[in-house]
Amino acid sequence: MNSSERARFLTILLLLATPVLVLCATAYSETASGTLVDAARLIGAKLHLLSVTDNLDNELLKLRLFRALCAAGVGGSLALAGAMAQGLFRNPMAEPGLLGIGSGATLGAVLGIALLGGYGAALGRFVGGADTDSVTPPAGFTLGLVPILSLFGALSIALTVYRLSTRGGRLSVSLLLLTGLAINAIASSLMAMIQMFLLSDWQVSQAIMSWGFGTLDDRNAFQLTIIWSGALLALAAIPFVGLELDLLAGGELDAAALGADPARVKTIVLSCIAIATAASVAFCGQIAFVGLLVPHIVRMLIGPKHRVLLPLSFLAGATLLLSMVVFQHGVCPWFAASFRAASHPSWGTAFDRIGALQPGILTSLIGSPFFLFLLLRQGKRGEL
Amino acid sequence: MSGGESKRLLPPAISAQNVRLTYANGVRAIDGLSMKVAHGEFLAIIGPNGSGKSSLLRVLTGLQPADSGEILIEGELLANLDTRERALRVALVPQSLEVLPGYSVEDFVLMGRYAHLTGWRLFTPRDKEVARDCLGRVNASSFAHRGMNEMSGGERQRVMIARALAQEARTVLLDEPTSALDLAHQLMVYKLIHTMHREAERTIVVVTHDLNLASQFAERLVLMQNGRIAADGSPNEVLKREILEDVYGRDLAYGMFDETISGKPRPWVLPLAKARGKETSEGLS
Repeated sequence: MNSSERARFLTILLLLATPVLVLCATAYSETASGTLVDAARLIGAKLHLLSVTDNLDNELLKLRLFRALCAAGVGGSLALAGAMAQGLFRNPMAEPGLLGIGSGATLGAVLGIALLGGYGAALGRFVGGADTDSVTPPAGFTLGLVPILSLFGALSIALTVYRLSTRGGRLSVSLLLLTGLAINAIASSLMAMIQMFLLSDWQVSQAIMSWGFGTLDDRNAFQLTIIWSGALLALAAIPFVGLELDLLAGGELDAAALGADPARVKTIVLSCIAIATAASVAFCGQIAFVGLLVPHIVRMLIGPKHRVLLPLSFLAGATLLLSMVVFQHGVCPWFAASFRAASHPSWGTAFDRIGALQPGILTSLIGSPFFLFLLLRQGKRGEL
Repeated sequence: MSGGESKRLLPPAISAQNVRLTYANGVRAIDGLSMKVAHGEFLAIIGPNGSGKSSLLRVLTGLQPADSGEILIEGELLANLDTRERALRVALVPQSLEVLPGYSVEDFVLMGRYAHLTGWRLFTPRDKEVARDCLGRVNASSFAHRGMNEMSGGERQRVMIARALAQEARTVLLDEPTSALDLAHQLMVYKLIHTMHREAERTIVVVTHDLNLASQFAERLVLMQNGRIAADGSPNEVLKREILEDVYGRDLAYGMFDETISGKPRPWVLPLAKARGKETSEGLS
C-alpha cells in the first residue's frame, strides 16, 4: 500500500469513526446510559430531522452530545494547529504549546477567570492601588470574557514571538523556539503570581487549576460555536496554504523562487494556529500532546504533503479526543461496574478514578511515552 | 521568421541599471552595477568570494530587493511583477537545498509547476506530463519515486535542474551548480545546462567559481570584483593575465584548450603555487 492509498484508507476510516464515536459518546456515560438509538434520536432532533424525542432525559443527553462535539472540535483544532506549526517552522517538534501560543491563551483565560471571580478591582489594587474590594463580577462581564481574553493572549503572544524571531524579514526557527521558551517562562511566572494572589479564594483557584488541566464537560452552545468557528476557519485555510507549506519545506527563498509568497503564507498559517488554538484552549484548557503526537503519527502513515496531512490531522485529532471521551465515560464505568460485580471493589474504584481524570492529564500520560517511543524508533532508523 | 530575428525583437531577458545593495551589517554587496543579459545568451558570472555574485543573483530574481536601481525582466519592471509572474519568467537553481524527507523526486519536480497552477491549484495531467518529461531530459526517470533525502550530490543537482526546466521560464539562473561535485559530475551538469540552453532554448545565467568550465560552455563571462563589473566579454577577452591578476593575484597559470564544445579554442586558468623567487616566470603558457 503506497502513501496515497494509505491516505485514502485513513480518510474513509476516520470519516466513518467520527460520527460513530459522537454517537457512542452521547449514548454511554457513568450515569443513566442511554442507548445508541436515544443518542441518534437526539442528534436527529437537534438537526431538525426528527420533530420530538420521547421521555428520556434530554438535558443529560444534550450535555453529552455537546461534550462529544467539543472533544471533536478541540482535538481537531489542536492537531491541525500542530501540523501547521510543524510545517511552517520545518520542525517536527513544533507545536502551539512550545511556541508560547498556548500559554498566552492560558494566561488570558486565567485573567478572565480572575476577573469573573470578581477580582478586577482587587487585581487593580494589587497593581495600581484602587481601593474598592468588590466580590461580585463587574457589570457587563459575561462568560464571553474568558475566551476573548484567551484569544487576545494567544494572538499577542504569537505576534510577539513572530516579531522577536524575525531578522531582516527572515524568520529564524531556532530563535523562534528559544523565544517561545522564554515567553512560556514569562507567562508561567505571571500565572503563578495571579494564582498565589488568589490562593485564598478556593473556588477561583480550583477553577483555574482544573481549567489548566483541560476539561470537556459542561459545554454550552455558545462555547461550541466559538470552538468550531476557530476549527472551521483553520480548515478553510488549508486549500490556500497546503501546497505552499510543501514549497516552504525547501526554505523560504526557494519557495519564493518557485512563485509562492512566503510572507503571506506565514501570516495566514500563524493566524490560523493562533485562532484555532485560542478558541480551543479558551474553554477546555491545555490538552497536551495532541498537537505534537497526532500530526507526527499521520505523517508517518501518509507522508508529509500538507494538502492531505492537514485535513487528516484534524480528523485524527478529533477521533483521538472522542475516543478518550468514550473510553473515560463509556468504557471505564462499564469496567468499574463489572469489577464490582465480580467483587474486586478496588479495581472498580481505580476505573472510576481514571474515568474522572481530566482528559489533558490522560493524553499526556499516554502521549508522552508513546512519543518517546516514536522518536527513539525514528532515531534508530536514522530518520531524525 | 527565423529564430535569430525573433530573438532580436524580444527585450533583453534581464536588464539592470545602477543597482546598489548594502546589507544591514554595512557590507556593500553590489555597488552601482549595470548589465544586460540578451535573450538566448549563456552567461557566466565569475569572481572571487565576496565579490557580490550570489547577491547579484538574488537581486536579479527579486528574492533580495535592491536598495536602489532598476531591474527589468523581459522589459517589465521587476518591482511590478508579483512572485508568480516573476517565477514564470525566471527560474532559479539554488546552490543547495534543505533536506526534504518524505517528498519523492517526482513531487519535488512537480513543485516547479507551482507558478502555472490556477484555481484550486491542483496539478493537471499536463503538469505531471511536463514533470515526467523534464525528469527524462536529465536522465532521472529511473529514480522518480525515490525520496529527496536519499540521493547523491550529482543526482540532486540533476533533479534541481529538472525542476527548473519544469518551471518553463525562459531564463534559468544557477547558483554554483557544481560546487559540491566530482569532476565527472561537474561535466555532466554543464552538459545538461548546455542542452537546456541549446535544445530547450533557455537563457542561462550561471554563477560559478570554475573558470575553466565557464570558459568552455559560456558565450560571455562577467567578472565581478567588490560589487562591480571588472570585465565583461567573451572567455577569450576576460580570462587574460592582465585582467585576472588584479582580481585573483599572480599565482595563476594560463593556457588554451584546442577545441571546446563551442567548436572554438578557449582559455584555461589554473591556480599554481609558484616556487619562491620565480614569480616572474611565464608559467605554463
